[in-house]
Amino acid sequence: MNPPEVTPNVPVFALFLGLSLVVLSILLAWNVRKLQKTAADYYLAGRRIGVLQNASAVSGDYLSAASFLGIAGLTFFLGFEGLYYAFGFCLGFGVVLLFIAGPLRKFGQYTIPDFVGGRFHTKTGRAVAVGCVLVISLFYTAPQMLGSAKILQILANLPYPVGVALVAGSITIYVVLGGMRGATMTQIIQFWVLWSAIFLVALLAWGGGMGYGTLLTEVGSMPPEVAEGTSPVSSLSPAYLHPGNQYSLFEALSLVVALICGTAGLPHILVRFYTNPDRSRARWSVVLVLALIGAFYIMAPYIGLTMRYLFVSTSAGSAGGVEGLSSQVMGWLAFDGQNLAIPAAAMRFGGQLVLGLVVAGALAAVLSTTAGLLVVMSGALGHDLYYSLFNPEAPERTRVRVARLSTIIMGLVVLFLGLSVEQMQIAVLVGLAFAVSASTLFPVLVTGLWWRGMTGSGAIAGMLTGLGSSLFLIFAKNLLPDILQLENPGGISVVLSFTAIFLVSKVDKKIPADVDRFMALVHGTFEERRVRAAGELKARSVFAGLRKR
Amino acid sequence: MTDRLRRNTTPSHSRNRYGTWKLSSDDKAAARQEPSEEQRMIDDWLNNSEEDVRHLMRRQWRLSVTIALLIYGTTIGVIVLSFLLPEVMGRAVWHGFSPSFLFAAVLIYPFTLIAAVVYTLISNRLDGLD
Repeated sequence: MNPPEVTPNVPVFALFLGLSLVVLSILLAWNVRKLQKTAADYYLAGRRIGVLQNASAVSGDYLSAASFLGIAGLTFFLGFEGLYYAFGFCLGFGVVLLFIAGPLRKFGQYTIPDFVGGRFHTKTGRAVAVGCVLVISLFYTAPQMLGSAKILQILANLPYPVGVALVAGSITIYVVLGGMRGATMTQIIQFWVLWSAIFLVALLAWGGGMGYGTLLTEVGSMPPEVAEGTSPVSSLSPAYLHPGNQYSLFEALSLVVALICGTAGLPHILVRFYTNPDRSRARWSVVLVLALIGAFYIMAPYIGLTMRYLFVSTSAGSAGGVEGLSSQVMGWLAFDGQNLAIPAAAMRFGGQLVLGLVVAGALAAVLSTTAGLLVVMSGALGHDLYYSLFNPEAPERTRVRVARLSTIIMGLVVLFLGLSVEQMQIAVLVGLAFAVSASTLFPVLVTGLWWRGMTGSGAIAGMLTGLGSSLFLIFAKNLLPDILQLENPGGISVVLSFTAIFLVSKVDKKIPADVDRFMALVHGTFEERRVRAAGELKARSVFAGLRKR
Repeated sequence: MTDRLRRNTTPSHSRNRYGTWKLSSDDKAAARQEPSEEQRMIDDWLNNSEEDVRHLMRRQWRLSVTIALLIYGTTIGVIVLSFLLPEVMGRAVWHGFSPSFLFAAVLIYPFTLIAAVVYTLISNRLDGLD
């Protein structure tokens, strides 16, 4: 189907806001370019990011176009089953908080492959982890490029390659200039832009008489045949508000497990906890992330459901007491309701102005996520491959230069990747990223941080098993029996990966000699107590001095 | 760990040609002195380090697993019940919301947030950070 006709005045305000966002990001990065003196400055913003800043940046990093546009779209399309994606994405941060954030921050290196290298002292393991980081990041970047270029294509009539080049180019520029610090500052602003956009749309919809409960009652009482034959989007089935339409119980559980564990293994999210000054602040950052994105994931499905109700009732010519949808908005929803439910809601409830804000929000989602991924990919290349494996003696200045060069190289890779995935489905790419993340880095991190008996061979076996099984279960889906043809096979591959880690470690038995020392480093509290004791002693001596006077 | 803690408190050493430690006169004088109060406290902790760490790890692990079971057990339980008892879980019980929709679309988020706050408070207290 061809893109729906769009009135020429749609993109003006949207493009103005989007362009302002890009220019602001580049200016911010330019402003901090001289602060990148060490590798820790470039990759981790000098480890001085506070709780609110880091929580906003993590949320901006995490809420990609797939979340911003996709969650409302999936609820619009699937009803109850769209909610699996919303709470699956959010609950992943629970796992991060409970098992990973504190100890990982205490480990305090630069990247996730650093963890594998430092915990098991294996160069092969580090190299495999680098491969996993690159695979996850590239598969996660591809849908961002695809989504942003499609949005620009539909709403601003920009050719697909121009859209990809614009997005990839601008992100590369501000990451090269500002490193993690620049990326963090822009992610904070971008997060609040996208959060405000969705909040405004939800508020306008609610103010427009679309109460959540009323909506559920109306949708629940609609006869299933009401919208039959009116659009390419399937009509409301009786089970629209209940599970079991698209996914069986097994599929639903596999999907939710993959999303939860996948979130907890995303390298661009995990590396952000290295930027907090200490473990306590890393934990509080995750708590605040849960609050911020939790609110987001309550609003997004509500908007999707609202648009579904309006779409079906307008199609049937009976929008109840509220105004129906214009033919333009109906065209958008019929063309691609899975991705355009939020822009359609913005147009319906707020007109051009709010649509502009939503397009800017979508662009912000893409920019912030891709910037985070670019920092991680450049870290994998510049820190893990160049510095850790080939030139450990490199001085700080060289490391920063290499980091910037790595960013440019990965920016070019992202550009070509974006150009090559035009015909692919966003959902497949995102699913792949989550399945690989859940089955490779997540099991290694959790077991590595908590199980003394894990060995380097176990870690390598776990990552390779997870990578191989997740790719096989996705790409060779048609060769498998029905029960294994899952929407997201992460639920199976994560179990295989944990099993491989356990079995190989038990057989291998070559536990690193310094495992107790490592556990003391990541779980112990000596450093904090030493700092506290030093502070108390200093305070005591100051008081003693005052008393003498 | 020991090295990291002692880095700022031990004197700098160099090896002589026999491969043994060569101490400067300042180092010898420092070695004859009583250890400082801070050094004594650090040494006390280091003597118990292994036991402390294992104990702390066990308590942290138990706390994490308990909260995880609470959050994810409830979530998976609601999904499974929605499939097994569609009549009960799909019936509108409050302002048009069915139990499964109310939990999956709204309540799951404040529930997780409260559990996360409780976890962080207890966990930081165990670590002695709050």
